[in-house]
Parts: sequence; C-alpha cells; structure tokens
Amino acid sequence: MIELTKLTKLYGTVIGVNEIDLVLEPGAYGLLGANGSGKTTLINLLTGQLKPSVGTVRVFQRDPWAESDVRYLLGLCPATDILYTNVTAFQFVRFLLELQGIKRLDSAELANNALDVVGLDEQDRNRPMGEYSRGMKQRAKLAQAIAHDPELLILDEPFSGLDPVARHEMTTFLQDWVARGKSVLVSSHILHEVENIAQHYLLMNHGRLLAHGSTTEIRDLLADIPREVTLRCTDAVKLAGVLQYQECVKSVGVLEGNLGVIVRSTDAKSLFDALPNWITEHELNVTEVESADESLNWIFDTLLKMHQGEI
Amino acid sequence: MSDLVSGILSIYRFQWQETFNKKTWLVWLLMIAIPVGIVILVDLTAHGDIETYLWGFFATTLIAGVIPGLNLLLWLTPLLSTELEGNTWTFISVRPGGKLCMVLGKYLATVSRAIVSGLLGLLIVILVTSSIADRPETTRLYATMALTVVLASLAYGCLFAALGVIFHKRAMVFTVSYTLLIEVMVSMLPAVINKLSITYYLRSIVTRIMDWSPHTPISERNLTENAAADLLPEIFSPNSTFSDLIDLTVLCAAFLTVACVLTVKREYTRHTTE
Repeated sequence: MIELTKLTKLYGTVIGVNEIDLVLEPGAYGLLGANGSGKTTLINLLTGQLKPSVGTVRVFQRDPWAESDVRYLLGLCPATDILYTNVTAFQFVRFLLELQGIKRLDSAELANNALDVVGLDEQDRNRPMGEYSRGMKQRAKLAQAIAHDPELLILDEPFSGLDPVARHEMTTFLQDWVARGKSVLVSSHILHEVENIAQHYLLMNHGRLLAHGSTTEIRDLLADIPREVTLRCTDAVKLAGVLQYQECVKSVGVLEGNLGVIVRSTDAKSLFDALPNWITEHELNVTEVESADESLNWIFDTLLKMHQGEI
Repeated sequence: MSDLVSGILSIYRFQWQETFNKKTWLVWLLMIAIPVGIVILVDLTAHGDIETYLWGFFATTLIAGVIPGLNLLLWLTPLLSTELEGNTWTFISVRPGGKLCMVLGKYLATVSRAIVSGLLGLLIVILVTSSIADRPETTRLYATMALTVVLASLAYGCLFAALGVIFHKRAMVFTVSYTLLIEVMVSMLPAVINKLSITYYLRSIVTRIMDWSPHTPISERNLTENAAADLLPEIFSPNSTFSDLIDLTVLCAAFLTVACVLTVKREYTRHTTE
C-alpha cells in the first residue's frame, strides 16, 4: 500500500522527514510522535501535497505528487480547523465530492450519507460552519474524508479538541472502518488515543522513523535494553541487598526515604517470576510493584532515549 | 476531461455560495456605486457639456476598468492566499486535479462577478446620464463599453490570477503596485514596452471601434475636431481590432498558464515540520 525509499524532505535547511525506508501493507497504523516530529510532513508527502527532496514515495504503486489519480483512493482529515465559515457542512462535503470527480446528482446523496455516518444531524449539517463547535467541525472534516469511500483514510490528530464522548465515537467509527477491511493511518502525539484502533505503529522523532511494527515487534527490538521496575516496600535496603545478587538484575537503586527500590533488568519476565519466592524466602514486605513494561509509552520513551544516545 | 470541467464548476458554485453574505454584497454594491457616482457627478457638474469621446474615455475607464478591476483585485488576487491562510488549501490540493480546478474555477467565478458588476454599473450610468446629456451615437458607445467590460474582466482576471499566485504572500500589495506601474504608467509610454500592458490593447480596441483612433484617417474619424489622442499616437495600436484581440488573447493565455502551472507545480504548505 505504501512504499517509502530513502524519503527525505527539506524545508531549506530544516529537515522535515529524514531518510525513511518503509513498506506498509493495507491495515491500521498509528503514526506517533511529539509535535514537530515530522508526522504532518510525512502525511503531506503521502497525499501528494509535498514533493520529496530525496527518495521516493509510492502509494498504491503510484507517485502521489506526479500521479494525482492516486488521490481518488485517499481520504485525508487534516489537523487544521476548517475556516469556510459561510457555508454549511453539507455544501462543504458536497463541493469536495464534486471536486473528487463525483457527479453532482450523486454528490448530494453521498454527502448526506457521510454526514449521517459522522453523526451530524439534519439541522446541524445545514447551518453555516462558522457556528460549529470544535467537535462538529471535526465531524465535518471526517465526513469529507470518507464521503468518497477511499481505500486509505489518513487522519492527522483526529482526537485533538474532542470531548470524551466525541473521542469515543471517533474511536468506534475508526474501529468499524478497519473492520470493513479499509486501511487507516492515524497520526497522534498521544499514544493511548491510537492504541484502540491500530495494532501497528510508526514512531517518529525529529523527522526520523525510530521504529515500526506491532507492540511486540517493537519490544523485541529492545530485548537488550534494561527495563525499570519500581518495588515499594518497608525495608528498601534489605530488598536491594537481596536483589543485587540475582542474575536477571542489572542494577538496583534505593528510592529516596527508603520507600522502595528501582530495579533495572534485562529479563523482566524472570524477575517477576522469581520475585514472589524472594519475598517469601527473605520475609520482605513489598507493597507495590510498578513497571512501565507493558505500555507503549515505555517503548516510545526508550526508543527516544536510544535515538538521543541516552541508552 | 469531464472531471476537470465538473471540478471547475464545483469551485465556481462554491465560490458563489461562500461569498453569499451581507458583507460581500455590501462591498460589491459599493464597488459599483463609487465609480458610477463619479461618472454621474462629472456629467451633472458639466451639465452634459463634454465632448463625447472625452466622456466616453472617462466613463469607459471607470465603468469597464475600475469596477471589474476592484472586483478582481478583491476576490481573485487572493485566490491562493485565502486558501493558504484559511487552512483550506489542504482540502482542495488532495483532490485529483483540485489545484487546477481551483485556479480556473475561481477565475471564472470572479470574472463573471466582475462582468455583472460592470454591466450593472453601465446600466445605471445609461439610465441616469441619458437624461443629462444628449450625445450622438450612444448605442455604439454603450455597446463598446459593454464589450470592454467583458474584455477587461477576462483579461485583467488572467493578469490578477497570475500575480496572485506568483506573489501569494503579498498578493494585494504586489498587484496594486504592478497595476499602477505597468497598466497605468507603462501603458501610457510612447514606447514598444507599452505592448506588455493589457490597457494598451483595450484602449486601442475601444478607440478603433469608436473611430477615435489617431491611426484612423481623419476623414473617417468620428470626431468633431482633432482629438487629444493625436498628441500621443504611439499609445494606440496601429493594428486592426482583430489583430489586437489576438495579441491580447495570447498575453492573457500566458498569464493564466503561469497561474495554473505555478499552482500545480509549487508546494504550498505551512513550513513546519510538525
């Protein structure tokens, strides 16, 4: 579906995207990275709004910059706010459908269908968009992206500014979209927003692709990286003494105030397996075990640290 | 091809929908009222006692030049900057052929608005001034003015579209500066360079149709006495009207092509790496 080769985009001397090599099959993907990490630039390259400075972009075997017909297969919901204040959502979606090559007679029905799907009712869709709330604008933007039933839906920060109910509805919609066999690429700087939609992630930082794959695949990349586990207990010094001789423990530190220990382990599974025995054997009183191990957040933070040379 | 036509028409319709509000209508009426008011005021002040060709030049400049010019300046020149600054460019540029349709659709929408404005202004001028002055050959004069409204709207539209795309960050400033320098000053220079201005061709076409041209034999001229135009014959084309129309078409096609090519080939995004 997407094939990027040595993809680089420069804005003068500023690097937007830096040497990305990537092949993505149809599916659901989360594009993760902090603000300024190059997510929007990558999306602009995928949708043919930007031309690569170096390297190539292929989307559905076509170059989106030079071969604009690939845009029939794409739907984009950009991060920016809509500023067509005088027109209604219905006029807006219909206009973009016609620009997509849909006949005028069919465009009204398709526009209404899309607005039904995103939950903009009859009354709201016929009001000027200048009167819309952030959530309603987001719905109108989503409607224009899906109205022509694209194969690949690209959403740039779709959860931004949405209230919890709207977030839930957006998540449900995207889950249904994926269940229909359609592809989606969701960009976000907040991990948990995309965890319920995508099983594969692209992690970006400073224009570089730090890693991509499923949570498990990315975790495998980090097999040799020690993981931190925090153990809270009543006798931290005694616990540290026990742990420091274990094979799976790389280092141990005592928390301030003797409230617990921080253990760094290259084999967290063995640590967790053996921990109950050590507690019983040495009569330790461990009150809390905390590990970021299962969280994508930890993976992301670790990759960032690796990239920045901190690990 | 049919997608291109339907895309252009969708932009055309959307332009009208988007600008269908009280504020736009008010500005639009003002742009007609001010030049029309000046023409009528001049006629009233002079009690209609002005040479037809002088009044014709003056009225044509205001009705066929200023009214369409203001419309185009206000609504066509920022054709790209409004989309970029309004963050709406993305919606258009990710559509197949969307960029090209945007330029041509906005061009047609604004030019048709400029033509309607000019013709409406002309109609008011005809209705009011016909009771002030009794001029000869008014039918030919008004028909020529109407033709000039159409030609000026089409031609200046191409120029303003090109300037709006080339200088999209300061579109209005550059367009006003260019118009004053090239279309007003350079077009009046008795030198070959004036052929680069649209005004030169329009002026020549008007004078030839009305038989006011200094290149028309005196015996065939539609003037009661020697015209001021005789002082600077170089600022009028010696060619036929047909030839001037061809030259004007080529010039305008070049401007519109520049606007289309630059819009399609240039990258327009906010230069951030977010």
